[in-house]
Amino acid sequence: MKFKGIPTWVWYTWPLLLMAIFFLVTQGGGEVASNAGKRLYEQHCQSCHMPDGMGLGKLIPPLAGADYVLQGGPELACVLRYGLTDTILVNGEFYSRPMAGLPKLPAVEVRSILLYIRSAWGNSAPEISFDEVQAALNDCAPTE
Amino acid sequence: MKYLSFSFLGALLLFSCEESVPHTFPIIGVPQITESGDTIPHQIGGFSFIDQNGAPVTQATVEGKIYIADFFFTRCPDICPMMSKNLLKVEEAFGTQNDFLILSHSLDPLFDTSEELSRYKRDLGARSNNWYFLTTPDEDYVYEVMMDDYLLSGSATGALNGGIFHTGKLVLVDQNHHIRGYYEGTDPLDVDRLIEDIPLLMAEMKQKGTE
Ligand code: HEC
Repeated sequence: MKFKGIPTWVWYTWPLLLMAIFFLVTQGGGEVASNAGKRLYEQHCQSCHMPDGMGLGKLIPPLAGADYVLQGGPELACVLRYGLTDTILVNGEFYSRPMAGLPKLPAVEVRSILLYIRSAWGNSAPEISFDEVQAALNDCAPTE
Repeated sequence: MKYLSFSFLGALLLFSCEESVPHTFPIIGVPQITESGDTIPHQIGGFSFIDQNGAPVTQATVEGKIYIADFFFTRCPDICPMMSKNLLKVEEAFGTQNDFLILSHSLDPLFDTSEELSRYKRDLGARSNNWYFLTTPDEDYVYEVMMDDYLLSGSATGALNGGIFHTGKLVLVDQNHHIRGYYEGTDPLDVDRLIEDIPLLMAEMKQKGTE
């Protein structure tokens, strides 16, 4: 019966308000995720792949403008968690030094970093959902 | 008007004074005092390493030259790529000058053989003949040289940093084997300062040479 005190205009506009709040939260959420991705990148990746994502000579491949990152999909999550030991081809150059993985990095953080490296430095690759990251990580988990 | 021109002259004088005062670099390290009471500044002692081509590098290699020494290793997961990247800028500025060298010592010399260092130098894109990548068959030796001669800390027992704990310092050494400055090899701005200081130290050494 308390509802009686609420003016009628509120009753008509609350869906609008709700939409506004939803909009703010999701946009803000995206912002938070990419900030987290940047911070995690600085912490775990920047020393090798450099602040500008350009890597170093033929020692460390670039992430900025890299076909490997732009054309890759959720399976990139496996590179972050388990590293790479093969010889790989990035933008027409071979790289063969091993990269160590971060086996303890939770899937949420793996996703944050992926979103960051796929959208920073002028990169624009499609977003990858949490479920896709999780599925890829399950697929590449070493069998015990 | 008179005052104005005076102050203008004053400013000019000040300016020219500042230009003629040579930039002086300290001689770093604890000097030794001999029995006769003379003080001998700390010097880099004789050394013997092997470079990326398998050739020996000793004090004779650096004779009469200014050089930068640093300590790294090819499998280093954290600070070394940034140090190497910044050293490329130094190479670009002075790599063709025959009175200047860079000595990059591996702290993982048993893994970083001459062949491994040669590959690293090539893949890094370093081309100057004046940039030496050094190894030694005696693992402890490079740590002794780093600590006793270049006065830097480090150890091969740290759990962090790929098992090797070390600093990213670049050491500037003059023609008389004296340490004249330390620069943070991971900091692009400090490496810019080094690039400005090298010609100043060269000028100082030339001036001393003609005295
Ligand atoms: C110790 C240095 C190092 C660190 C730290 C590092 N990487 Fe790498 N990364 C490499 C090397 C070397 C390769 C090439 C591996 C190969 O050739 O098999 C590579 C390859 C890659 C590739 C595939 C090739 C390309 O350039 O697109 C991606 C993606 C990548 N790294 C992302 C990351 C991310 C994200 C992080 C942080 C979580 C990270 N790396 C941390 C050295 C490093």
